[in-house]
Amino acid sequence: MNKRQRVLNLLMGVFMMFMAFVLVCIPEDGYELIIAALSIGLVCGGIRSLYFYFTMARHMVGGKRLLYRGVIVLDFGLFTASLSYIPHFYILLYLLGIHMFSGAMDIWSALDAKKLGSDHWRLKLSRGVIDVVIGILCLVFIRQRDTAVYIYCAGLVYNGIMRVLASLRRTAMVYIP
Amino acid sequence: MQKDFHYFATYCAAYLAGYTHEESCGIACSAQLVDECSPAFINMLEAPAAAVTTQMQAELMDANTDVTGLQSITRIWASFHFLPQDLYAKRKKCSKKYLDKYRLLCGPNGTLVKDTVETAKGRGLQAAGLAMHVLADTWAHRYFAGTPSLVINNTDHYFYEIFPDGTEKQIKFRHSPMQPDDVENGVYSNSIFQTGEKSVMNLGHGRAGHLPDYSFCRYKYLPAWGGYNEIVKDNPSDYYNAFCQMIYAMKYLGGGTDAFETGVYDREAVRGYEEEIREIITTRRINAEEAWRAFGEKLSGQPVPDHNTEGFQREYRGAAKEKKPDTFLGKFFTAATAQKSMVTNRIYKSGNMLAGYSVSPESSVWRRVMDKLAKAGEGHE
Repeated sequence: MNKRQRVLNLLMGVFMMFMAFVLVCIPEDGYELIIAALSIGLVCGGIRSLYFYFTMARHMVGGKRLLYRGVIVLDFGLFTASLSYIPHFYILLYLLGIHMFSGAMDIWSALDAKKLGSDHWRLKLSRGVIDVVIGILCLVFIRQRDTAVYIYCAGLVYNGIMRVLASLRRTAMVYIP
Repeated sequence: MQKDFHYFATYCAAYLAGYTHEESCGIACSAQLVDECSPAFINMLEAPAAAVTTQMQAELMDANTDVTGLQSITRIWASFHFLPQDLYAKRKKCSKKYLDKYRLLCGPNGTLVKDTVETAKGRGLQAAGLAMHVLADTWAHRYFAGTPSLVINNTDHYFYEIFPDGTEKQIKFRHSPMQPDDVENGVYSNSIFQTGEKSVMNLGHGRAGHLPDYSFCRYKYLPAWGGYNEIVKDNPSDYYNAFCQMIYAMKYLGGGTDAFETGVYDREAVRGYEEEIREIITTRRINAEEAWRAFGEKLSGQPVPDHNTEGFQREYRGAAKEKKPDTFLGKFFTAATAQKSMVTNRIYKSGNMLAGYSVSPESSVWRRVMDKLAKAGEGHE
């Protein structure tokens, strides 16, 4: 990572821990804040991907993947924004779904990295497995709302700490001059 | 390209072009120095910052990728390692932003190669060596650009090595920084895929690993800019052309010919050595230093020394301030600054801002700036 990426990762980690704290303290408004933050992030990310595709990546071999990614991310962002007015139970289910999906992607990426001989696949794998386990535990306790919220917040804090640690870690990257 | 070609092969080409053993060593040393003159090297010698010709891995990892940071990276890499082939290339239905990067694609026999060799004329062995490095890299690094760009420099899983018997094998890259390439089993490392357009992982030929630098390698792949058209990269042929073109260029620089034209290769000078040169180029190995050294020693009858700049560094440090430009390294730094200035100016004049603003060296503004800097005793980009 370069310095800018480390700073962004560090800020993201701190933000995630802060959001967990907010959700525990003011659960009624906490959900709205998390949904709003997630929605804004996804919509901006989707628009950015689409802009990059239409100005640059449409000429690139394999560029269509960026188009699909942009459309999917934008759709998720708009869908997330529409969740403000439904019962919190369903919002929690949605957040769990994203959490578990993210965990599954981390597991897939870790196994890929292991095949390519990278030395850092174990950390990524453990993060993915923990994300999936947290998601499953939340589902098990979904009827006991407070428990589910605390488990979800624990997951957010864990992810936040991992991001902070990743930003402080020296990464060996292959660069070919 | 690697040290085997930039140092030892350049020595051989210089000798075949008519330079003496000592002159050939000087040219070869300068050619290799282009891959070593990093900001850390410059800082160590307290030399002009404008003379930087490369960036080491650690320096690139921490490099800024904001507008000015990218311009600084592009100025270095496009000037010395990925000389653009056609700054006025056309591409239909694309944004200016894309076109600017597309026009930085490196390739041999472009106008800038002629300008590079002509800029080196009359500037000594150091300029000649630097020009040979740039010329040789236009062959090895063709089809990549000296600016960070995913949409230009990316490659994907469609990457096949072509063996001499015509068979092909898909290359599976790995991202293991500690393990060297295993050429026997066709296992190579490349830089990690990064979706960021301006990531330094997408600078140059990182996504193709070291394959462009292996003279024996033939491979085919889909370059990101190629519109799904397959490119076959024939390194043995390209390296042979590079060698013959270097001889022709150095004959011009040495006064043996009146003009340097692109697309001309001095195959006459290598008559009687073709098989030996092709054997060195096509033998499957990571490093051909000893083979080129042996060939060079056979040509000149004298031992070709290892590349070592410590003596030049001592000379530079020990020289008085006004005498530094007359030392070996001082002349190299002057040549590097001239080359960077020329290339940056050409890029700027083509309407491309990826290398930043440039003032023409012939302009009065430039002369006033240089006079002021000379008085202040500093060098600036």
